[in-house]
Amino acid sequence: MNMGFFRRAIGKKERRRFEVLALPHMDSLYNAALRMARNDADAQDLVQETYIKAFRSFHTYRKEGNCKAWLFKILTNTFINKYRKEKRGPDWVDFEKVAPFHPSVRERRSPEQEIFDQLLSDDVEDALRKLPEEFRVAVWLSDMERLPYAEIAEVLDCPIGTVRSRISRGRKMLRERLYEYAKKMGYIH
Amino acid sequence: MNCQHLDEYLAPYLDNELGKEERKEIEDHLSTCSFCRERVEEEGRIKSLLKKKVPWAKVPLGLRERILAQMESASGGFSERVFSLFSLKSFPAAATATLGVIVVLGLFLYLRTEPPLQAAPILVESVNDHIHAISRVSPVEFASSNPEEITVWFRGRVSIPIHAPSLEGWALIGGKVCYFSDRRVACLSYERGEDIISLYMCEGSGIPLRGMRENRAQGQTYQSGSHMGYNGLFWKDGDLLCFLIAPLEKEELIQLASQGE
Repeated sequence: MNMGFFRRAIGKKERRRFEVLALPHMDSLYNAALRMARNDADAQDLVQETYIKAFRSFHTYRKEGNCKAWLFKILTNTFINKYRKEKRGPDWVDFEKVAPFHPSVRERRSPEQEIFDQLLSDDVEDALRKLPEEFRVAVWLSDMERLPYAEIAEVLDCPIGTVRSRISRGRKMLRERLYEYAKKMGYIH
Repeated sequence: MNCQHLDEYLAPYLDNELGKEERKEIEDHLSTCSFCRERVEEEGRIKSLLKKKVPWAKVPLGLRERILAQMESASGGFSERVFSLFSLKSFPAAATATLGVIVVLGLFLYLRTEPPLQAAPILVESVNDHIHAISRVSPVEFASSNPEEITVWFRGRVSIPIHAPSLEGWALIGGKVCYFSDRRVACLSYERGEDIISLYMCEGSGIPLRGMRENRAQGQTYQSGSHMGYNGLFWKDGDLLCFLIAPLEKEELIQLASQGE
């Protein structure tokens, strides 16, 4: 008899467990996908593929708690495999090696609070999209999703030090870009 | 700890990711350095900027439904548990043979009482899509009763050329693009009084049509199936897979399909 013929069934109990643990994160995954993929259709495809992969491998997720980081890991890997031919393609470069982080003490400049308050959501989204992917994802997971560094490291499959550095530099780039933009738009007197 | 070093620690300090010792070192420095205190504030501003300014999108209804539909079609299959009870390797030959017969018989009876095979994913998805479409104000993305306009509209939106057939008794109301599992599907909507039918077309390779009945009419083969009270008819037209979803009897579907050739 061919034992392989009998696929592993996904029983009702496991399906209920998936519905309770994984489905509530759909909004989070969709919003992240929107900032990874180029357009809404691709973002939807990405989320859909993530969920089917998650559903099929849910039996490997043994913890009882929050599976958000686990789902984000699947999303990120799916994105890398689908939209970047190689993981180490031109954009997904190890910035730490190419341009080591040299802390610098900047000069004082105009108060940023009022400037940032004037920014439109489009301005911020645009600046975010211009960030290199690995910085964008790290900053998103930290500042929008409030994931701890350890979980972000799991999602991105890198050391915690790298997470720290990507968030640092990502935020710095955002700030520089938004400041320049505000100057250009005349928000700064 | 001096100002020069702080840069490295700004992010983890704000994100509460530092150990007690490191945290204390920084706080000691901050208590004496107003410049660095301001830098911490700056970092805090950028950190909260995203949450403040970036709009939070809601998952589109179609996406949610597709995800639920694909879960439905991924569930099901035969249980392994029947076989795990009998480890055929550990029994001697004669016993194995007898056991084999019992197992087969048992399995036969077990399968007879199991619910029927899950409907093909494409049938489930298209019926769900049809139901969703008819409950909206407009079931189409692009409203038109002109087949040429429809063909032009689909260009660039789907990978195959779309020609809306004329169906007797039914009026073309327009088209839309759907996303099923792994591909884009063109959909044409027709109405007759209160009823609406959906004619889907897509590139036909690699779509499983299991669990359906085969029908032959006028030299064409049709696969038919039913889900949630709607009948679906599937047929190949060259490279294209065409499928019609409607609250009509199978015979009427076949009749319409043959007009669509």
